Amino acid sequence: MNKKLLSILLVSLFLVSVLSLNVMAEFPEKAINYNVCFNPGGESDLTARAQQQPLEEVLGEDVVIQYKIGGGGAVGWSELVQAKPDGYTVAGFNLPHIILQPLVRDNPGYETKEIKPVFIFEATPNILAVHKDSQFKTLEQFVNYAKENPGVITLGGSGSYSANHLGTLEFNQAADIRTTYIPFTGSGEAVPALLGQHVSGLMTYTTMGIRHSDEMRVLAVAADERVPAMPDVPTFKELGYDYVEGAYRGMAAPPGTPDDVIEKLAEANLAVNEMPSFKNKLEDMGFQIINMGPEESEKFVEDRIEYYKKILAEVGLL
Amino acid sequence: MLKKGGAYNTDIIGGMIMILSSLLFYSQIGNFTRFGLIFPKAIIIILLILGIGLMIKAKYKPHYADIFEMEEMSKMLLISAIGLAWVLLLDVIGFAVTSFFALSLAIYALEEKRNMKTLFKDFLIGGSEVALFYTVFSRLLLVPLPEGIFF
Amino acid sequence: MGELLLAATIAVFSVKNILFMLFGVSAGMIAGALPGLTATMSVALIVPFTFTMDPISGMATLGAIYCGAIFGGAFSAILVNTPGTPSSIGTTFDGYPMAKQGKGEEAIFTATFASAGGGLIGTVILIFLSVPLAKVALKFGPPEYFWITMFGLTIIASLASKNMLKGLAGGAFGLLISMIGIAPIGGDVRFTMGLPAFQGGVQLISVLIGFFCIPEMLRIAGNLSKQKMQAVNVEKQEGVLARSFWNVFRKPFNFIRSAIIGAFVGILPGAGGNIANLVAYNEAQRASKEPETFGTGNPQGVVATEAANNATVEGGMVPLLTLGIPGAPPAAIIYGALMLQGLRPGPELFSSSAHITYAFMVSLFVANLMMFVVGILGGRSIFKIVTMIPAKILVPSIIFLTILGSYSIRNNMMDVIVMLIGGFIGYLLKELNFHPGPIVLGLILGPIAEKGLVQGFLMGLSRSNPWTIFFTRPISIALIGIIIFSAGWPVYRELKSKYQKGEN
Repeated sequence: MNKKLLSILLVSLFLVSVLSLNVMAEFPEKAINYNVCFNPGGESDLTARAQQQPLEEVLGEDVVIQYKIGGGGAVGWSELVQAKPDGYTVAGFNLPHIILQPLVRDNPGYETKEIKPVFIFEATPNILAVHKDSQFKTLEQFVNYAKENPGVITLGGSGSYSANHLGTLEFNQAADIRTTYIPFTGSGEAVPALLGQHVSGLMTYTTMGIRHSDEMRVLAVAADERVPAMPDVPTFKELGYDYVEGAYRGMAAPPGTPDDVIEKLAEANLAVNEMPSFKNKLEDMGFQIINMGPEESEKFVEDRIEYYKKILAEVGLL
Repeated sequence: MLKKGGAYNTDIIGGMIMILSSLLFYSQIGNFTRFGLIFPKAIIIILLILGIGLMIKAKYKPHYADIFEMEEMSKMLLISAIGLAWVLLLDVIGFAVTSFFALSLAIYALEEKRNMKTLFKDFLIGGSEVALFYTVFSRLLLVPLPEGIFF
Repeated sequence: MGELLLAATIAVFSVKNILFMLFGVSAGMIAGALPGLTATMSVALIVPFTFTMDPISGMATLGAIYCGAIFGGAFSAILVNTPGTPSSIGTTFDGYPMAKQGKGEEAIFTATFASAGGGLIGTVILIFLSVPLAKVALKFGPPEYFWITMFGLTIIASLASKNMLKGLAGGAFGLLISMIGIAPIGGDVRFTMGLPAFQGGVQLISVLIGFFCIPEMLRIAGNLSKQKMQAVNVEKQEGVLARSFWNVFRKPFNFIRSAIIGAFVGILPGAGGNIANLVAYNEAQRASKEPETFGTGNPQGVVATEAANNATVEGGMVPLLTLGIPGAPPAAIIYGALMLQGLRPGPELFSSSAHITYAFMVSLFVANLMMFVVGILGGRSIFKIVTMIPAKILVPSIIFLTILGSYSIRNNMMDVIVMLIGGFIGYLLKELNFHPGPIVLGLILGPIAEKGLVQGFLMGLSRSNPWTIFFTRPISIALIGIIIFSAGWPVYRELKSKYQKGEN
């Protein structure tokens, strides 16, 4: 009797381990839902759409793009952290949004640390852009004018507590000037304001500078090095201002997603980023391709949390 | 005067709703920034004034109407209840199963003659409708639908 | 330009493209007719399929779907009082009463002719007037947008002429609800009642379905034996087609003016085609010799709203193609598709990629032509099917579709719950004699008004009195003039008729 029981137990243990091995080795087995938390046509959407087919190639399964729009991404992210952590639901995530929202809002529906980064794949540094007919031909002229006329200059940007917003505050500090930031709902709304000359300039993303290069003049870019798509645009650093800022975008999974699933997804993202067709397409649009895997991204997010806490305290927003 | 021969004073009730809504929103004003406060304050005040205006009109030039006047209120209430349960159970039981029961029962609720035959027929209709739309939306268009215990 | 147009037309008229566009218009129509599936969503669903097509075919397909979807919204608006897309809100005002009076088929055909015709006019404007119009559109900044929303609110006056107080209260109520979510300026989380899902605000579609559809469904449920939905004398309607045709073209001013209004409102990014149909309706009522018939089943109401909303499709393309700024969400998706095809919206589209651009514009023209045929055939079939279905099956099925539709907005149960609760509230308000139009108008205009107000204020901060910026810009001043005229017109008309009566 006991021997029979023991052998049954052993066999079932064996079967269970074999089966679960299979399950883990086979991810993905069905379609993956890729949630985009911002409006169609925006940077997050464009990136996701460009990634869709390459990801399907690499993973061998359908990648279905869904929109979960609202609250500057908060609605989508609060849903993400409650989704099943099996790797079949992922979402695009944005920095600094996922850091700033929980810091500043009472109940965004998620905590920064609940968002498990799989990969950070691209970034759009901030740029300072003016209308092509503007009186400012160089950043220096701009800063001088701002110093002589505090509060007159209006800079449009996307969102409140976003990279554009914080960037404006950081630049104000770095250049010791006072400009008024006017938030718009998305870069798509900010651009017409500049083109119609309703604002003096825009603190927006590189992608907008590329898209509208005929109508705008980009004075500087807030990156460590010059952006390949805009080789003639100096960085703020070069011009003497310690100002590096922008939005980073990546893929995230719900908390509790198994590590090997995350590895698989990260590998896929890396593979896509290394495809020349994809890389060139994004870089031409003004994106900076970034390759940060799960551990690196997590560390990066933690560093940025500390950084933004400091900045918010300095400008008195926290 | 709330009632006048079976009809209700719509201005009183309407006014009350408007006043209560503005007060509800007023109570929800939290730690707003200077800019985030301008618009809400203005609208809440305007709505409050209009609500009070309606109450005043209710006294001098009221508008009476037969509210919810219909042949078979029971049917309307049944549909409302089924609809509410339907929506609340979608996430719990799953889209297809919940809709199957809710849709079929709703049709059955509206039947003139209710018996086993019509019950069966209605479940057939409900079943085919749910099957059709579930297939098109979930399988063809790959739109995720609520899943609960079942699908 | 002539040779470009010719070359474009030849490119469009390939068998492959015609088939794609036919599919697009039909699929768009069906999607638009389903309450909850918006034009934006329909276009977004098909974008991945267009990646494998060449640019012209892909763009033509997307454009056709867009046109079809905006048109399709009329069907549910007329048949079940539910705007299939927000741009058909105004079509319910006269379309549904027409259906209740047994003139449903006429309403549908009128909507078809008006939509297709309005789209044709819109396309002509797009092809020939894009560049100057885009320049005008850019001159509209935050203060101007604020005044536009104020003008929009004066529409309430005509929608609720018999119940001014209730109309205004409804509008304010709509404005109140529109504030739920994140403040556009300042990022505050407002009125979410502790629910993270409300950070995105109350979804317009949910409220539309709730306020327009559910009350009717509940009312019909309670009055089943009285319900012989539009089936009266269906057979006898012989001259319906001709009558509908003449409805549109007999009063060319209404039709053309509405299309122009639609195209112009569509050009303004951020104004949204959702308002265009209401503005056109308002103007049609104002210009009519029998304004009090609007809202009771006057076909001119349907002509106005449907001509306008289809013209906004093309209007929304003007800033997109000339400046790279989409005029409406579906245009933003098409924009994304353009970018992923490697095309850059902007001046480049009219120089190096001109053949694709002109082909796209011509394809819109052709899609609208197709709508005449598809709309009539499809309309007839849909009408027959809907009238054949007994109410006891129709009502639960419509509710089923609304649940499906509101869920597919963003796969959030909250939207479905809002839809139903909104339905109960809408039903109550309707019984209390509150017209849903002003409420929905407030909901749509709220965010635009707030943004215009606060952004404008920020723009004026450098002045001693920031508020002066709203009164010192030429377009703003013109808009203020229009508002005074618009608000004062009904008053003037009242006084005039009283004076005339007094003379007698």
